[in-house]
Amino acid sequence: MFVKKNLISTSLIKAFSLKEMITLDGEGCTRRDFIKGSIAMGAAAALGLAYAQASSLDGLLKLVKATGEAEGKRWGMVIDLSKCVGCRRCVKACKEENNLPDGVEWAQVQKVGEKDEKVYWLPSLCMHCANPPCLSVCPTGATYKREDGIVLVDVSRCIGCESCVMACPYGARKMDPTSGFATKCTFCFQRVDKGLKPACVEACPVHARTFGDLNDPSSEVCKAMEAAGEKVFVLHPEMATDPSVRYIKP
Amino acid sequence: MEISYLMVLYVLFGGIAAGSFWAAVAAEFRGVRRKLCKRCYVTAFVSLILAGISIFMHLPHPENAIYVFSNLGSSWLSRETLSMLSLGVLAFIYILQPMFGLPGRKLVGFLGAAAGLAFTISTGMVYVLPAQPAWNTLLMPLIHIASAAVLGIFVFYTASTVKCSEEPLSAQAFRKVSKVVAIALIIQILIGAAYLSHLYGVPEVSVEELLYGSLSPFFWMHVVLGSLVPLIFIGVYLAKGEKVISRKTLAVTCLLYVLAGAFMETALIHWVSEPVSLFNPEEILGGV
Repeated sequence: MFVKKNLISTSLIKAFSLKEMITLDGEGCTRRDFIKGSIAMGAAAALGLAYAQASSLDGLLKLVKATGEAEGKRWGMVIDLSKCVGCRRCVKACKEENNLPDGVEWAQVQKVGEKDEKVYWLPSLCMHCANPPCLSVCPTGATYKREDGIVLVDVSRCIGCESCVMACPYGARKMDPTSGFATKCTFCFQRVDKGLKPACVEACPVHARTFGDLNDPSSEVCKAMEAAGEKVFVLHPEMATDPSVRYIKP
Repeated sequence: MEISYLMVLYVLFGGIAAGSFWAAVAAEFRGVRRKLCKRCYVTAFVSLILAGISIFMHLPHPENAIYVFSNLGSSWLSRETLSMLSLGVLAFIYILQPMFGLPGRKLVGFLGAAAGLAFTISTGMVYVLPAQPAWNTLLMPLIHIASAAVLGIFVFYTASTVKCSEEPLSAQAFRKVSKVVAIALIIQILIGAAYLSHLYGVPEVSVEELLYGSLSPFFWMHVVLGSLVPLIFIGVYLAKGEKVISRKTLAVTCLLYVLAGAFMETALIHWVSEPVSLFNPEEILGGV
């Protein structure tokens, strides 16, 4: 084994001893120069990456700080899974309100399973995360977050690279095949800004969805979560996205 | 996952560009004849243009690409574009330097090689996403660095067999380059094996599908054509010399196989990935 290892090291050294092979025109630098250069090059690349990481961390810290401020509004939603009957009215209302083309659904409803002879459903939409992965990967800044926590897309900056589609753990980013832009649920900001509730909340016949300000303890949404206690959960908590859409277990 | 072949071509040309530039700079700094190196850095520049065209054609809205540097703080795609552009500019200066007798050859070479490294690392890091468990590993940048290095070394290897006014490499020198090529291939195989072991731990990915299922023809084509066949050919050359296979046949054949292997590798990386499941029914319903 030792001999084999030694043989491999020797052949490696031989293979890299290319000085005599490549110093043919006499203009070559020495091995020391080459090693120095390689180290300098590696250090430059490492410094560049470290800077990029540091700026990324800085950005993340700013983001966390911004979302941690309880002064402003933070719109959010809580969905009671024991109430949802899987009627898909929310999906239809979303499509109508946002004039979505065929094949694009910002709101979805998936079957979870059966328990005690009752079928349970999980409605999903953009989670409007406090730390949205779709925002950090977007190269053009097309994805942005408003001060009230609503995550939106500025299509005039979107290149359609699909990075956000890949980065979202909730499958909430959708490519619009007709326009070629990456779109998503907007929490119906056009309605919310007028003091109305999102279309999916209004359309739900069993009032499974509650919408409101997560930073206001007296809001409907906070009261619903308080009443549910430990039954409240978020999807993929391990990804530290801090979603603004929460669920209540059946 | 559906893939765009233009995207695959972009990664392939990007790898050739970075790898060829590394090979050219490393060889030139160690005194290799200028014409041989020139072939490599011209290849790097042309490949970079082809990579740019591929990605431009892949994007539905390239007209908004002017904003692509807006998120350098956190987007690896922004960093990738910046490093790719830097490599392009530096490779262009590197081509012009001997023509106009411009100074700072070493500096431009080092900076270009660093930009190439940053480019391949960024290309790999673009894939590192928690939402895509198959890609969520630091092996992704390593895979891209190894692939670029192998492609670059093979470009140099092939370029060294093309006749020109300069003296060709001696038989001894060519044997030594062949050994470097073989070592690069072995390192790439080891990184590939490490990635396969990562996939075993990803519940969203079926490794059986890759090894014996519908993806297996592509996987084995990648392994056999992209790595094993070139390794065997080089082994035969090292053992028997030019009596069995000529330098040119060896280098050109191996380059074509490695290109096919690299294409297959990028396509497979896209094919195997499945997004993380939205929820776990057991966690929601409690033991159902």
